[in-house]
Amino acid sequence: MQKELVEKISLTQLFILVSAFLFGSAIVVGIGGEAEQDSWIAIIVACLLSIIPVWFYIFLVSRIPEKNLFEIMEIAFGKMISKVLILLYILYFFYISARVLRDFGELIVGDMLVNTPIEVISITFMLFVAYILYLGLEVLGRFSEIYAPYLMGSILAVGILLLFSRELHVKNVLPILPEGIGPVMNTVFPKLITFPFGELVAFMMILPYASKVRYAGKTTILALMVSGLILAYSSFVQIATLGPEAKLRSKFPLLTATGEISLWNFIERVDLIIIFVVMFGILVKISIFFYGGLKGLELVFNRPYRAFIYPMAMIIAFMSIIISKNFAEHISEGISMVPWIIHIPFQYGIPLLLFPFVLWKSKGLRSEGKKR
Amino acid sequence: MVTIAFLFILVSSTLLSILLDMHLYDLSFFQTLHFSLTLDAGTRKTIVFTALITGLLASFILDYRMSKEESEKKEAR
Amino acid sequence: MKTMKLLLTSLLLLGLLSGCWDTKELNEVAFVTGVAIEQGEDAKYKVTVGVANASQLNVQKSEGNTPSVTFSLEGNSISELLDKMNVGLTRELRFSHTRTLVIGEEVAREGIAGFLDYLERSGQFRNNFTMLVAKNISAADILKTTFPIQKIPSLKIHNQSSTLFKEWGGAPDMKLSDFIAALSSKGRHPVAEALTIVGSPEQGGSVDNNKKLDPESLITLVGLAVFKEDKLIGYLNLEETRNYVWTQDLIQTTLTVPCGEEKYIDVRIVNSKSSIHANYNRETPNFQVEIIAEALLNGTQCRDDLEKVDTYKKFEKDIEVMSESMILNTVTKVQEEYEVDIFGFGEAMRRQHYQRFQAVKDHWDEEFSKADIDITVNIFLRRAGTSNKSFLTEDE
Repeated sequence: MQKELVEKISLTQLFILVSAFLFGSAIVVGIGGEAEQDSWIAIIVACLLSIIPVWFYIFLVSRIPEKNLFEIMEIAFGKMISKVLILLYILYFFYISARVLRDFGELIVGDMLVNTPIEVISITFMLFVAYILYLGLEVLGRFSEIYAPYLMGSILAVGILLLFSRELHVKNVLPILPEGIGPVMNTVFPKLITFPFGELVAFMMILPYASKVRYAGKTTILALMVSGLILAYSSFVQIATLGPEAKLRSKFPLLTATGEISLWNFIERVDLIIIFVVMFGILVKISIFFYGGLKGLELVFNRPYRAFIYPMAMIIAFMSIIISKNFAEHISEGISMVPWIIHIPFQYGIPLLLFPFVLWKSKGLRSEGKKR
Repeated sequence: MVTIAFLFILVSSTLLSILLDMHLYDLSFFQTLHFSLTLDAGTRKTIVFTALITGLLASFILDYRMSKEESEKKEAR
Repeated sequence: MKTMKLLLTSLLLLGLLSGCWDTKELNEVAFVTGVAIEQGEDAKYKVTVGVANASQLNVQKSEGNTPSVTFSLEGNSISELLDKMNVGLTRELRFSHTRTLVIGEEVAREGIAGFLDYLERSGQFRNNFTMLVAKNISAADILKTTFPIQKIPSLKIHNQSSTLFKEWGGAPDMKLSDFIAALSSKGRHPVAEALTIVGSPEQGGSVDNNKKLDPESLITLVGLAVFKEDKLIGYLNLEETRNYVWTQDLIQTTLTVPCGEEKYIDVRIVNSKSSIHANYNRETPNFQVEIIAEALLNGTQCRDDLEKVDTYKKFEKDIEVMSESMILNTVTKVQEEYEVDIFGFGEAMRRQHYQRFQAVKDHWDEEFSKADIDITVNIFLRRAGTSNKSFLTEDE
């Protein structure tokens, strides 16, 4: 009845999705603050290190062509075990979407719309995400293409505007690495390597849909490098403007730093534009996690994923509220528990487990292909 | 099927969040359950619960429609 | 079914018509331009807000009424008082356009960290307002002293201090975020501007003050308030303030340098760059403040020939010697009298000798007060206005 929908995204769209995904909530909450004035170094190191896992994800996906992570798991582990694992993955994806949504809600409620209930923001945002995904992955891709220049442009412009406002004090960044590389590595592992870089595991659901699969891997890694650099730049700007102490103290450092912009008594109060732009990063991040989860549901429950969109969107909105009672709980869960017991198993554990099976099965698949 | 998926995901994700909360607040399972899900006076959890119920209703409707389509297909054959 | 769908969609869209949840029309809010905090008689704080009366700022509609209204309340926390201001004022207050925060002397001496946290946290205040300490005068009176050109007192003070900073360097460029950064840093103590009222404070509270050519009361800036952590411990005068600013981020200033007996040259300093080099000489820290500046000769009372290179050399030397001793005196005064590092020497030490600073950071002020300071000023006198030789020279 319904014709099989083949969704394809172009390489440019993939590039934009990866970088917007990485900016997503990372640029809102600020990352690597514990490395104090060296957080930009920490981000660069983490970005370089995470090329390895990302390359590994790409490798897994490319061994069995045109299959996403869940279909690969089905091939590798068989129906029963893979179903359990897929359900766990779905939970993981939905849980992270809820956390990202909460980050965004806290930003809006804490800074902009003080009297609006956070519940309303969660629900309206999820309705938006649901609508985009209902129209399909292609629409998300095209939407990003339109929006991306504003995202990159404004993040880059913040530094330049701050420079002209005489607020950029480069000496705040000194001394570089006063206690050696140790403290930097402590932030890199496990925090930075899992958030935001390790979360790229969700792209194992998207990569098979890129139009030129052969180049998809290179594009992803290029996007990873570029966004790593931009994140480091943004972090550098934040430190130079606020100083390491104030950056660590601030809930949303980029926003605080942007608040310092004041040019010719004319360009002022531009932090609203930043929120507008950040919204896009959050949107992409939630959409991709959500899409991953929906694809899993499609596989497990044997119904088109569009059927699940509205109910699941409501669950994520619900989760984003009950996930924590207050901001302190949200943050301390994010720091102490999520990286260890949630991120690492799903980002590294299961893919590593998958590796030998994929090698074994793909050999079989290839020889079969040759016989034909 | 959608309803089953809905309930399954709802229960398991709530469980996940409760497990994390249990760890953080050092409470027993039922205390945490009570504490995360009750509608405290003054909070606006009603809004999300309403949304959740619309989600549940939507999944009922979707299931109903899909089963009807399937049966129609069978009849056509 | 189709009509049902249409009906439902239009009903849902109806919800959007109400607009933003947090919407507030302009006629429901009043903009606070200045906040004054001082010691209360019955409670910890007395807070005064100055609210702009927007209709009087419009040239055509102005009726000669007051451009700004003030109101005071007493209580123990700033936040509560600011939200309670409607005891006397009509509209909801908005603080995002606050330009001045005047702190009373007694409160400043007891410590201001208690309410700085609120100001940073609330998110309602932007950080681009000036922090001031009211010296020898009630802080509330500062917000009540009118001025004919800039009608709202808080805007006048803000403008006044930023212009003084830009033109002569007599005021520090200390915004709320800088103040808190200095407070939380181990190697620096914050400063704020000090101001007072010349004339009688009572006269300033009426618009009639604007009708005099020589206003009965006028707000003047008097220098720098020196803080130890968050407590006021003393003041520096205007000259010393300029010297302080010169070690930080001076934009431009003017010096009067002796060039003979009872004779002076006027020098405009532009393009000044200062850098601090920190070192440790065994147990005493040692700082070299290096200032490189361009100078323009604005006027001379001496007869030296301004077409000769030697004269330029001599003047450059004179300026350097004078400014070096001037700045050194200020630093020494702070070292001996106040014993707090307001110059950020500790921060320079942290940047340049991190390990060494970690060892002494908890008693940095003691280290600072015994530090050797060396000031080097390099002046490049470039040109001397629009004339060559002075007519004074030709008299000879």
